[in-house]
Amino acid sequence: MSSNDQQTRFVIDASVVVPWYLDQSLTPISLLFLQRLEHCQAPGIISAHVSQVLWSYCQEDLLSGAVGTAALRHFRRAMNHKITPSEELADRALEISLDLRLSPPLCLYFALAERQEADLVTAFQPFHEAVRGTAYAGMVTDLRSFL
Amino acid sequence: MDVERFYKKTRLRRAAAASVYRRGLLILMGQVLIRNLDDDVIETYRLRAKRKRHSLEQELRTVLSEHAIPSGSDLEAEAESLRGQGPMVNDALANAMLDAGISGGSVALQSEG
Repeated sequence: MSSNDQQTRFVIDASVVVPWYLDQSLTPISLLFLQRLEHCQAPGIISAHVSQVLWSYCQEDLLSGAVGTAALRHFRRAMNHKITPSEELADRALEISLDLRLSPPLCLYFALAERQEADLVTAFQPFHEAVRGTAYAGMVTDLRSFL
Repeated sequence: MDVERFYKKTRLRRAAAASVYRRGLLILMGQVLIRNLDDDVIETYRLRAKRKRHSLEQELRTVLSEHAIPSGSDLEAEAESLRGQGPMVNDALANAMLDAGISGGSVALQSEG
């Protein structure tokens, strides 16, 4: 186990990352995680999710392509040493996905949180809905609860 | 860029530069020249590289890469400058965009509040 692993307290998803680049009510709280990245990790699929969300903003002309690209580059630099390859988590993610009836790619976040004994911090509503009343409920923390 | 300028920029041996140029392998990586570095520092890294059976350049590349972790305040300042170029997003729109990005759902645009 690396020193990074030992420090990990939070697994974060795109809902924590995107407010770094677009002003919204969750921006102040999400920035606390940017300042404390030594305590954070994410599965590799987060890159695709962040990219997809930024792309959605670009498609709606709410963000320029140049800023979207710069944001993605910033995200990669920030999270450079904090990403766990999704392949390492795939088997467990599939098992969790069968429990939660949530797609396996999304369950990569749960698999990582479980492995690191960390909290999955998210404002993504489907995560909260999927774990409600299950053994995984204690693993998920609403980003809004830090407000 | 012609082969002469490519040669000067890459500092490759002339024949190697010509070969790379002809093949269209124009991949330029960053270079840094560090002046006034103490000889003892260089010797420390040279011996460490020798022990690991790779070059001094590789050793320095590894050390610099491993320490290229930007500080939280640097990252926050960079993110702030990017935020300044986008709109203020209300919660409904933020949720719709997040859902569209992660779940592949459609975006239901809400008026900004």
